[in-house]
This record gives sequence, structure tokens and C-alpha cells, in this order.
Amino acid sequence: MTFLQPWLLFALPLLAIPIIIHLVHLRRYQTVPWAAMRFLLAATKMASGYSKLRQWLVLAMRALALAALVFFTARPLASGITGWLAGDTDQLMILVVDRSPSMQQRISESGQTKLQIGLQRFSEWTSAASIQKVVVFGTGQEKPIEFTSSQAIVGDPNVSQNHSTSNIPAMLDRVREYIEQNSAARATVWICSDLRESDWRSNDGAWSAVRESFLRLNSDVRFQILDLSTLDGNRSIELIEAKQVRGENGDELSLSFRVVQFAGPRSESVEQIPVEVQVGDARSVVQIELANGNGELKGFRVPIANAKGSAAIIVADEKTKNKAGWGSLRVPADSNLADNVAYFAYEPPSPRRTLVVSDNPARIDAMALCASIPSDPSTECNVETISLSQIDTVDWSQVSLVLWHDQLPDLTALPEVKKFVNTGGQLLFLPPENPNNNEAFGMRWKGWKATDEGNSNDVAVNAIAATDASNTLARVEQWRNDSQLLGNTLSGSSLPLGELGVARICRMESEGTELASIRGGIPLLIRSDSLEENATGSVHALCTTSDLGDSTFAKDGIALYIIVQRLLGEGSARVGNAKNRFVSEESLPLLRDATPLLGDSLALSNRYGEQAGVFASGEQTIAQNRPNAEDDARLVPNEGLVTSFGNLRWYRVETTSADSSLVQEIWRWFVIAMLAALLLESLLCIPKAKALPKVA
Amino acid sequence: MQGNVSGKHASPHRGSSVEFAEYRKYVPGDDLRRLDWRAFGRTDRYYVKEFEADTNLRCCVILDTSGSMAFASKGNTPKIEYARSIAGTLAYLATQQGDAVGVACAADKVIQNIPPRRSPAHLKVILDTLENAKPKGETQLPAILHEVAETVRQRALVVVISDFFSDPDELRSCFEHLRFRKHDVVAFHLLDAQELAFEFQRPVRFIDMEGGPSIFADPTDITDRYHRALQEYLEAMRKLTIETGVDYHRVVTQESYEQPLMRCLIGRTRSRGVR
Repeated sequence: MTFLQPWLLFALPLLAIPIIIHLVHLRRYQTVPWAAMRFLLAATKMASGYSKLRQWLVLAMRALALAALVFFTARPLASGITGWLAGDTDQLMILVVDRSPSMQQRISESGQTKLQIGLQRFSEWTSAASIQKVVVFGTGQEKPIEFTSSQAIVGDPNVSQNHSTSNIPAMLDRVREYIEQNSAARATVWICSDLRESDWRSNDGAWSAVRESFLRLNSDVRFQILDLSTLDGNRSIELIEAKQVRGENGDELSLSFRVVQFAGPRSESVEQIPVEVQVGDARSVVQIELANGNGELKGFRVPIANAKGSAAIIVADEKTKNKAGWGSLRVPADSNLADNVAYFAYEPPSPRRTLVVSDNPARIDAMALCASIPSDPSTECNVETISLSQIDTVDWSQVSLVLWHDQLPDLTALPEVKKFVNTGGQLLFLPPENPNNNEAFGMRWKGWKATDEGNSNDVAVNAIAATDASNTLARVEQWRNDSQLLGNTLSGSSLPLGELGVARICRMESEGTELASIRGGIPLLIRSDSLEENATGSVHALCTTSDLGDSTFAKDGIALYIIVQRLLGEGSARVGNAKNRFVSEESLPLLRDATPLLGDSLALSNRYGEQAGVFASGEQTIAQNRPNAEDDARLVPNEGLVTSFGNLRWYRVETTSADSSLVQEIWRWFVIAMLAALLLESLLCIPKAKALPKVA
Repeated sequence: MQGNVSGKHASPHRGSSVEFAEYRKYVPGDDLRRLDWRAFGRTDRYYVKEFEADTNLRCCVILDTSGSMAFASKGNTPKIEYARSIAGTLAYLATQQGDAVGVACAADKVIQNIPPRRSPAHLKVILDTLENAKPKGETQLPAILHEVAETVRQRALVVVISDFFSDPDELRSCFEHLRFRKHDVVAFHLLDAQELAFEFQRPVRFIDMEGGPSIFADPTDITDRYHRALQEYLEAMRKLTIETGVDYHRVVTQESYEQPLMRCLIGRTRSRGVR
């Protein structure tokens, strides 16, 4: 408990008034000569115990009434630490706002979202505490916003919703920088969040750096978590893929999406959920089955080319005559409107260009062949083969996939390759015949080795042996079918990797993720985890080649074809003018001059990058969606918070109830206490009815 | 009334007055002079003729002159004044009837003792003594009553006028002692209205009028208990006077002193002096 006007507590010595009056009263006695002393002696002897107690009680009640009066005038505040903090108005007040889509969930009967409630509570608290300046760090905002009026925080568009996932540790790091720059002696950092694991990343190593940096500060910093977490039911929709394909009746839009139901009225049986598909102005509804709260629809076709009034429009690209369209997918509205819609953009498929960098292209002919045969007749695929010395001549903007069958890129080539990967390009390393010690993306070749005693390092011998049905080639024993590259096909069947044999393998030193391995746990396909944080492409390494002397990838070419086409499909997203991507901090500058086509019409024009929707930016049509991580409703457990904050001082304030307030003026209680004390005092002072003795 | 000489009070003893009472058979030892020879002549039996005996009164008034007797609430007569009036009136009545009357003023000791005499001139002495009696000092009434019981050899009417602020058990002992010595005891218990009501608003320092320690008390705390203690005391007094055969009269000094006197005298007339 603290006080808004604590100086009034100096009036507490007034408590002595009743005691002084009591003492004065005792001295104002009258003196009476008395004869019947024996009865007085008996009476005082009997009454001394209770009389003293009553006197003390009366005194205590009077003092209590005065104390309650003083406390009442000093405007006491409740709510534990929040109330206590309200008394310290000189400290730097910082508000970290989690503006992620999950904060759009409505949790009050009046329809207020978590974000609105959190901001309102904070605003009420700062108003009650007469705090003027508040520095706000919001999701997706590089620089803090200073508010000189707490009322202005509520409703400010810069602190309103966005659609990117928060990175709480990164935001706290920026907070630490701000405190350091402003040399604040004391600061309280309020974190307004619903404690989603996707925003807090409690297992992220960044937390240890945050902890240490705050502990090193010379400032007294405490953290207040405005806990807005709930476990209410929610349904969300995620776009997996939207692409234009050529169908039997012309151009069609192929949509793949997923619906996730979290908690709430989840039924054990299969549930049908209507999904509204909007393509331009045309709308249709498709039912999707939810089993155990999850439903996925792949390759749902919507005709677009021959339909009159097609949504496809020309996006000001007269040179290329490129046609791009867009639309959205919606599930019925629930408590969180922000995740009930997914946006998409599409265009006629661009040519899928594969670049083969090889010192011996013949050994990967099969792979080049797989890259040149389109999976969709409407898609054009072409392959260009160059040597490492020609790398400078490459137009990277038109390349979707690079098959790097040469020494790993050195410092000369690496920057361009990294740029390619960062912008969504797909890179597959294949081992050269004589690998050197070059290292790229955390990978290094170590040298070839036969997979079995029956095999040889001589590829010619292996090639002959591979044709023998009784060969001793190592089989692929394990692979990750939950990965994008080796996942099951649309029909649900797994890739035929188990039929592949590997005669020779090039060992790799890597800290990446093994996607497939052969007998003995030797990695066959590795995905690099050493990409830059903002990279949207991927880097894989296949530890053998498609040459028959190394493996049977070429002989059993289905798996190879699927892998190559998937890589191409992923890489093709970077080529063309229709982009489907997630909202991220990096997307903000890209949409500065964009025009909104679909989505929140009230979004600030300079903040399109953090909003979900479809935007036209130059030649490009960009559909932005919240990151899929936002649909993961897992909360940070309390243990996670304890671990994350470590020795930092932090407190958690429940704020989910619509009626709860961070701080309350509790003067009413003191008025009640005062009245009760006065009432009790008067009861104690009531003289008892006198029973006069009988005289006669 | 019992006495040694003839007086105006009916005596419980047969005596030699002119009013015939009864015959009774002669028994050896009877005064031969009281034989009724005429009855002997008629019946040839010895009868003794008895008459109602009139006797005088020995009245000892014991006046409490301890400090507590000076108490008087506002507008009321001090208890000592009231006691003087009763004592004086009794002395006057007794003298007028030819009875012997004496006064003893008692506080912590017998301050002044006027033995009973029948002389009319003795009345002035008694009245002077009463007038000069000043309430002072601690009361030792029980001890004085014991002393009176021992020193007054003849049967007497012992009138005690006091506020009796003593231990009831001790008073019981005194009254029993007086009764044992065949004295007729009359007790006038004087109480002030304030002592009964105990009405005070503010804390009061009570000064003991008999020189004891003073008491500071808040009346709101002790009034109930004071009344309870007083009630218990009065009840004890009532019981002990009944049990000891004392003619007890509780008197509030607000009323006229004639009232309790009248109640006392009328009551005694009805009982013909027998107690």
C-alpha cells in the first residue's frame, strides 16, 4: 500500500490527541468528600480489570479513527507492488508492449482485447500515480516512443495491434540500451504481454545476455509483467501455399492451408469448419475437417483464368505483362479476429531456373535433369551449368536453386551466395571429388569413404555393383518426414528413400540438422542451421552424388526428383512479383510506399510492413501473414519466467479480469474503518442503566 | 419498658402498681405481704395477688460522631444534624416521661458520655452535648457498642444513631452482645440520597471523610458495582437486625426526622415494649 499524497502522513502524530485528551480529562476531576468509602473500595476492586481494558479500547478506537482519517486523506493505493511503485514517481517508467496478433484476443465482455485491457490498466495506473512520462517499446518498433500523457497511450496507432511475433528478449535489450543512454537511476519496465512462448522464447540463449546486461547496469531496474495470458479457445488459419497452376480447364489457383483449433469447444469427433475463400471479389466456401483440433487442406483448386470477373488483375507491369492476383482465407470469427484470416498472392508461375556450379557436371547429370523437368506443365524450368570461375557472371535474381558441386564457396564467392540464400534462394551442396577445407554455412567436407567393405572408392566398380540386385549398398535408414524437403507427398505417402542405396559417401563436418542418414547413423542429407537470422532461403548438403558409382539416386530417381523440385518450388518464391511472406521487422522498410489492397484499412501507411494484408509495392504484390508461431498457444510456464529473469527483480501482475485494476484507491476502506472505530468507541462509552438500591 | 423505679412505661414484669393483673398460687419464697388473705378466707388456699407493674426507662443514646457523619449532599441535611435531631427529640421525650436518658458520642472512641439520669435539668446537659458533638475521626462503632454492652449494667433502651459504615459481621456481634445483656436496641441507620444514587458524570477523586486513602474513579466504570456492593450491604444489615432483634430503621436524610421517629415509637407502642 502506498499513498498519492504521502506528505499528509506527517499528520499521524495527531493520533496522540485522544491520549492527550484522556490525560487532560483525568486531571479535570472533581474532588468529593465521601462517606461510603467501603462500597467504593469494593466497586473499584471489582471494576479495575475491565475498566482499564475498556479505557484502553476506547483510546485505541479513537486513535484508530484518527489514523484512518489521516490515511484516508493521504489517498492510499492498493495492489501490492503496483501500488508501492505508484508512490515512486521519479523513476523512469518504461512500457514494453507485446503487439503480436495473440494480443488481439478479446477477453472481456465488452469486447476489449488483451492489448486494449493491458494498455487501459496501465494508463489508469499511471494516471492514478500521476506519472507523466512513459517510454513505450512496441513490437516491431526499433525506436521507443515517449508519451507525456498516459491517456495518449490508449488508442495511439503506434501502440495498436500489429501482426508480427514479438521478440521480448530483443525488446528488453533495446530497453537496456535506452536506460543506459539516459543514465536512469531507477527504472520500472512494464511488460504488457499474454506470455506466449512464441513471443518470449524462454529457451532462447538471448535471455542470458539480457540478464547479464541488466545486472551490469548501474540502474535499479525492476520488471513488472502485466500478465494477460488466457487459455480461451481460439481457431486460426495458416496459409501453406498459394500458387497458380494450369488445370484441365485453364488456370487455377492451388491453395494449401491449415486450420488449428486450440482448447475451447474441441470435440473428439471430426468437425467440419467452413473456410471462406476470397479471390479478388469472388468468394466461395470450402469445408475442412478438423480432427483433434487440426485440419489441413492441400492443393485446393480454384479456377481463375477463364472465370469472368477474375480476381487476377494487372499490377502495373506493362513490360512483363505479368498478372498477379490476391485473396484471403477466413474461418468463422472467434475471440481473436487477427488469426481468423490468411492472405495470399499469386501469379502465373515464373521460370524456375537452376544454376549448376560443378567441376564435373557429368556426375550430377541426373540432378540437373530433375531440375529441368517441370512438375507442372505450365511451369518452365531451365538449367544453367557453369564452373566456379564463372560465378561472377551469374544474375542471381533469376535463380531459384543452386546445385553446388564444387569446392565450398570461399570468401570471394561466399557473400553473393549468402545474399542469395538470405533472399529466399535454395542451395544444395554436393561433394566434389577432392574436397578441400573450405567452410561455408557451418559445413565442411571431410572426404569420401565407401559405405561397406563390399563397396569401393572406385566409382566404376560401384556402378557395376549397383546394377546387381545383391549389392551391398548402404540403405537410407532414417529420414525426417516432418521436414519440408523430405515430407510426405500430397497423397500422404512417404518418399521412397528407403529403396535408395549409397555406395560411397563424403563425410561432412557440420552442426546442422540431419534430415536423412544411412546405416550406422552416417548423415546423408544435412540442413544448415548457421544461416543469418533474417535468411529466408535454406542450405542443404547431400553427402553423395547422383552418379551411379556413388548412389542409386539416379536409378531410383523419384526421390531425387521430388527433392529437387521441392527445392525449386521453395526457391521460386523469390522470383516473380507475387510474394507470400510473414510479417517481420525486416518487412517494414519494404512496404513504406506500398498501397494496401486487402486487410486492415486503418493501418498506418508507414507501418504496412507490420500488418497482415495484401499490398502493392512497385511491381510486386505482397501478401503478408502473421508468423505461424503466433498460432502456437503455448504459454511460458512460471519456471520459464524464473529462468529467464534469473536474479533480476520481477513481479507478475494478473490483469486478465476485466474488472481488475493495477491500482485502486482504497480510501473507502479507511472511511469504513474510521466509522467502525467511532461506532465501537461510542458503544464502549454508553453508560449502563443504573439500578438504584432499595432504600426501604 | 423495663426499669427499676415506677414510671409511665408498661413493664413486662409484674409489679406493685394499682392495676390488678391476676391470682396465682403461692409458692415458698413469695413475699408473705402479697398473700391475699381474703382469698385464703374464702377458699382456704394461699393465693398471691399480682398487679401490672409500671416502671421507668433507662435510655442510652449512642450517637456516631465519626467523620462520615458530616456527609451531606447538596441541599440535604448533614447526617450529624439529622442524628442530633433524633437524639435530642428522644432525650426530650424520655425526660418528659420521667425516664433516665444519657448520651454517648462515639467516633474512634467514646468522645463524651453522659450517663442516664432522670432529672429534667439533665436534658440541658444532653442537648448541649449534642450541640457540641463534631463529626471527626474514624469510626470504631462496633468496639464502642461492645463497651456499652459491658458498661450499662441495667437493662436499658440502647438507641444507636449512625450510618453504620462498618462490617456487618462485626455489627452483628455487637447487637448480639447488647441483646445478650437484655438491652433493648433501636438502630437508626442514616443514609444520604447521594450515597444511594451515586450520580457523578466526570471522574471524581473521593476523599475519605474518616481520614482513609482517597480513591480516584470514573463513575461510569464503577457505578454498577457500587450499587451492587451497597445493595449487598443493606441486605446484610436488614438480615442481621432481624436476626438479632434490633429495632432497625433505615433513614434517608431527605425525609423529615419526625417520620422515622414516629415509625419507631408507634411500632414500639404496638409491641408494648416487648422485643
